[in-house]
Amino acid sequence: MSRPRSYTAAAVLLALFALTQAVFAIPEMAGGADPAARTIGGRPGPPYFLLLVNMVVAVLCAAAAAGIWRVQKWGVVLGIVVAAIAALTSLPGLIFAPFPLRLGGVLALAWMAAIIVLLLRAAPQPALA
Amino acid sequence: MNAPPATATGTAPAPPPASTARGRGGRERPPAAWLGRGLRYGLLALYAGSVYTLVVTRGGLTGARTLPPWWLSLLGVLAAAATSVPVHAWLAVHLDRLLTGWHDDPYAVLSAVRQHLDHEPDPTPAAILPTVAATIAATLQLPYIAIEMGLGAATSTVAYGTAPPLAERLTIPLTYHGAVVGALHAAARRPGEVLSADDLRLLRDLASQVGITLHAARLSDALQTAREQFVTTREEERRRIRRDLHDSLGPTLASLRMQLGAVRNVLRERPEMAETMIDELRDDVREATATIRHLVYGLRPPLLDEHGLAGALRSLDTVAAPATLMLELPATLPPLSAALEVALYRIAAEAVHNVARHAHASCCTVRLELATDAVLLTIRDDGVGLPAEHNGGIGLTSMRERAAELGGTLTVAAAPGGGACVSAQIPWRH
Repeated sequence: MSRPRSYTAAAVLLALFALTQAVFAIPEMAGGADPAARTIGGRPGPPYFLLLVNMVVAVLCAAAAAGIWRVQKWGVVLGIVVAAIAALTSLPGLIFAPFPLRLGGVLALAWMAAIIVLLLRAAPQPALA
Repeated sequence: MNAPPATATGTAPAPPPASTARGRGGRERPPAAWLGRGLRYGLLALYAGSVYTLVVTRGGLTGARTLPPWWLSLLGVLAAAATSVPVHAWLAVHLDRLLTGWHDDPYAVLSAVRQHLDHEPDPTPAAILPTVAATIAATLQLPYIAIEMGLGAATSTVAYGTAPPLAERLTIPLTYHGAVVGALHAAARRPGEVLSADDLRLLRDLASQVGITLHAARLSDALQTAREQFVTTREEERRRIRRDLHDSLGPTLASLRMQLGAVRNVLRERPEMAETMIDELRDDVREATATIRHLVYGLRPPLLDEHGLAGALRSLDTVAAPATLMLELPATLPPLSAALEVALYRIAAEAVHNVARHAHASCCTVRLELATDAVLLTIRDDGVGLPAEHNGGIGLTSMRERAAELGGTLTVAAAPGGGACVSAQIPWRH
């Protein structure tokens, strides 16, 4: 069954997000659980549980991207759920994070909103298996 | 004839899943509906929270380590509230389409079916029905759709997907002008799940359209078959005429030419012999004339042209002997098409011939009735009736084919009170 373009775009965005999350979260996690030991711009880094959540979200994003790529309904639903979770985890950053990370939070929020819209957008012909 | 209602069949009476609730029409609400609601309100809450946060942090530029001013909080709440209504509606529509198909937009489903059919190059039922089944399954997110075509022994089924075990199965009759032309089978999405009221409503709407499509496809198929049959019949007829001309009339004429040459040779020296030969020639010419008459009769009985259908039927009294032929004809026969006249005459002639040969009847009645939309021809006798194992022969097959060629039917049955009755009903318009 042919894959709608919006699904292709959403799968690529999710895969890129998973990659970005993994690239940034793994070195942070290697710094230990104490936020004071992981300073960003002289301020303590994000809480360790947020890093764990981000890693889990990254793995789920990769799985969802694979499911969407194969035009599976579970992949689309999982993609929407993990995008929502990722957007939720980026909200505290908008409030509490230092300036450069706040912009990252805004970018992540827009990124996730785009993924959700792409996945929910009406396809020309319903094509889920 | 009223169409029978949709029936849910094919599964064991599975208990309702624990995670279901009553929906519209008293049917169980499937888990997909709960998932859709959860996602919808979760995403809506996330959206409202995101809008508020973006407003109070001025798009993330300021952060909010201290409480924002009251007017900014109010602005955030108003922005979230004002935009949540259309977002909620958008989420409801698209999540529902994602999880349970296009229930909210029957026009879109019909349009999708129509588009798929328009792109189908082969308009026969064998090509169209798989497309229709796949489109319905895709648009309604159903795992199994089957379309059953025809009734009785000629039934054929096209299926898309497989039905989950213990899922509810639904059968909706496909009708056209009240006549059942097939059936649409659908299965619920998951084991133990039932089809929702929206599913039922949309499937019924689709079934009416599929019934029309199926009828049209069958007509198209029948038209193509009729065209092929027409060409085949025409070619067979031409071959028969060619064979008859070549095998019977050709040698006779060649023989006549040779005999004429022989007569010419002996005409002066032996006139008596020439006279004898001319007599033989006359017999041969008579034979050739009979052959031509036979050929012409094969094309169209001359009696129809000379005496009309009524006169041609009356002339069957010689065929019916020793039985007495009784004719029951309308007082005046309107002009019938040549094809219909030939078919009626041939069927009557064959049936009367069978009565004379097999029925041992004393009376044979031929009745011709003209209804508003059909011609009814009945040949009844008072003979020994049909044998116990009546299979019909070439003559019966020929009669059936003649009726079917014009879209009619022919039945052979025992006549009430003894004997046999052949009835042909052929469509006709005044």
